[in-house]
Amino acid sequence: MESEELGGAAALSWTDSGWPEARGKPAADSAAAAVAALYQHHAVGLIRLAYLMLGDRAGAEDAVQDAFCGLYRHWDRLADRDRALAYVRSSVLNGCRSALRRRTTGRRLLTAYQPPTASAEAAVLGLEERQEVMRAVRRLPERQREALVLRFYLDLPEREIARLMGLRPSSVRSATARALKALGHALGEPS
Amino acid sequence: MTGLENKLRAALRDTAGEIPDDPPPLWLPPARRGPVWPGQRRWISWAAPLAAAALVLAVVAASLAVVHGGSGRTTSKPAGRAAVPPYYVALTAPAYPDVYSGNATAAEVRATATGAVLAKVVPPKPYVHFAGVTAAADHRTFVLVAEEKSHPPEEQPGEGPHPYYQPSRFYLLRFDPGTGRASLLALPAAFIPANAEVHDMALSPDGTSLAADIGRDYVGSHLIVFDLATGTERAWSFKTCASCHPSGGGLGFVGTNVDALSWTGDGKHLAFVGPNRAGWPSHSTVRLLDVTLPGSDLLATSRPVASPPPEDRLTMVMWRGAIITPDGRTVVIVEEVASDGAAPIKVRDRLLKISVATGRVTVVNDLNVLAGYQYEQVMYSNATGNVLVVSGARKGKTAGILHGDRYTPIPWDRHIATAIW
Repeated sequence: MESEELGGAAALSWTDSGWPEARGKPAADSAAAAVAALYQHHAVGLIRLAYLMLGDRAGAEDAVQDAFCGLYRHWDRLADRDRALAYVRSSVLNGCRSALRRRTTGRRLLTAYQPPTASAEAAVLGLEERQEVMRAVRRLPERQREALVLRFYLDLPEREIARLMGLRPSSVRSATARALKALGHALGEPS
Repeated sequence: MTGLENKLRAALRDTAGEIPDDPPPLWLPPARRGPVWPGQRRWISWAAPLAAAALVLAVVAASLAVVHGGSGRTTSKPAGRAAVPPYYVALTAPAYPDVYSGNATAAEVRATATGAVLAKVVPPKPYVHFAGVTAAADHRTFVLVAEEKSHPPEEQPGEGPHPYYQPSRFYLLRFDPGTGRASLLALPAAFIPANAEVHDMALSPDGTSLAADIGRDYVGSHLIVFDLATGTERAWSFKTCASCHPSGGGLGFVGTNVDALSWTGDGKHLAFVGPNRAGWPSHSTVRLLDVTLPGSDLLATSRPVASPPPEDRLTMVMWRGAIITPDGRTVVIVEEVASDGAAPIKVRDRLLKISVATGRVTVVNDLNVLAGYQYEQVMYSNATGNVLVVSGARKGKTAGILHGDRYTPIPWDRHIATAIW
């Protein structure tokens, strides 16, 4: 009952092209199938992207779910559906920014709490260096952190990063340079 | 590329790798009904908050259903990367006697890594204690049972003292990691009838159903599943003999009625401790109830999935906890084994894993209680049971992550009565 009313978990029928069979179905079903297919292919990568921004797995999953729900709602208005991934990636980043802003009031507690990279188990596994890097990344201003993650995790070209962040390519370059400099300073290494 | 850039790239890649390869299912909002005509706009506008609420519910339900081990999902990552959820709820009391007796005066959301208290709630009046806590799989949704102050048993003329159980109520606790705030929501008072006790409870992985063993000691326990969205309930009970009171002997059967309820990750099966068969003689067995099947006979609608090892049946054994892992393949049992009569008395506290498919028993821990160990309690299991959070697995007031043979202590303190992830 609930899953019917709320849309439910998307079920797919796959075609050779990797896109679900949607012919002959109502428009809403077709949109759901297309969005679900996109989700199937890219959800993990997007959750990982959000996780790097937020340091919180549940929050990352929520951000991605929200982004796909938004994509579904606006599917009919999406001018270029080949750009759907870029649209949803941009939505995920927006969702992360919102989530980070909502955290302001709880910042004192949350800084005391080290997100998953510093779990007790991870500490024992001797991942101190990685944790140190990630702590430094998370201390960077939001824009600089985004620039680093998009470039060094997603390996996106500068122009795409600029489009996603709504900046000029030169601004992306300077944000990245400043971020690397700050990171090098925090880690005691030359950038 | 510089050394710093290489280090950054590796750190980002490794950290991202903590997210497993299998994403949660996608939940979409209701199917759209075609174009919106001008005359409909006002209604749509008015309905927008409702639609938004429905969407939030869908997203929450989806995230509840799929996060962490409680979801029953397995991960393709190496086992060493499996993580324990980042926070938990601990029931705490300032004084040792209250910790020991389980009369917790606060529920604290704590960080697994540091033990730091992120949020704290106290029982709303007239309640004074929290007696138990259970968690959904999202590590943000919990249910607490709050109790009023205990009163002496009431004496009835000619009948002696009646058993008395202080009034109790369930509370839903939600923790928002974004703000660091926790909120309490009272669940319907009618869920716990007067003069009855909540022996055990388990919140379903998606947070929509609460299973509880409610009744009096030894007589009248029922397994009840409450639907938290609608407030409706469904009950099961059983008879151990033709002339016995319904569910005579209670759930838990011969003593185990705490930490003896658990859901599989699909939210359709509930494990509890009961007799291995109707009638006598019988022994404690973990049974699996399919809550989607019709019927109210607890034994007829469930099947045994794990029994004590044969050699244990020859000694005095009490199960202190028995839960099924979210994947439904393993039962994790904490058992107390005492020597039967012969001096000197030996009391062991053993942590066992029993394979549902083969019955194979693995002894994870075998501790001598009389040598300074406390009884163990399993507070978290990942989907497969290969990562557990256990208190009492080391000497003193301790807790840690048991990952195979490896034990990793986590910050813990003497004020914690129990906790749940």
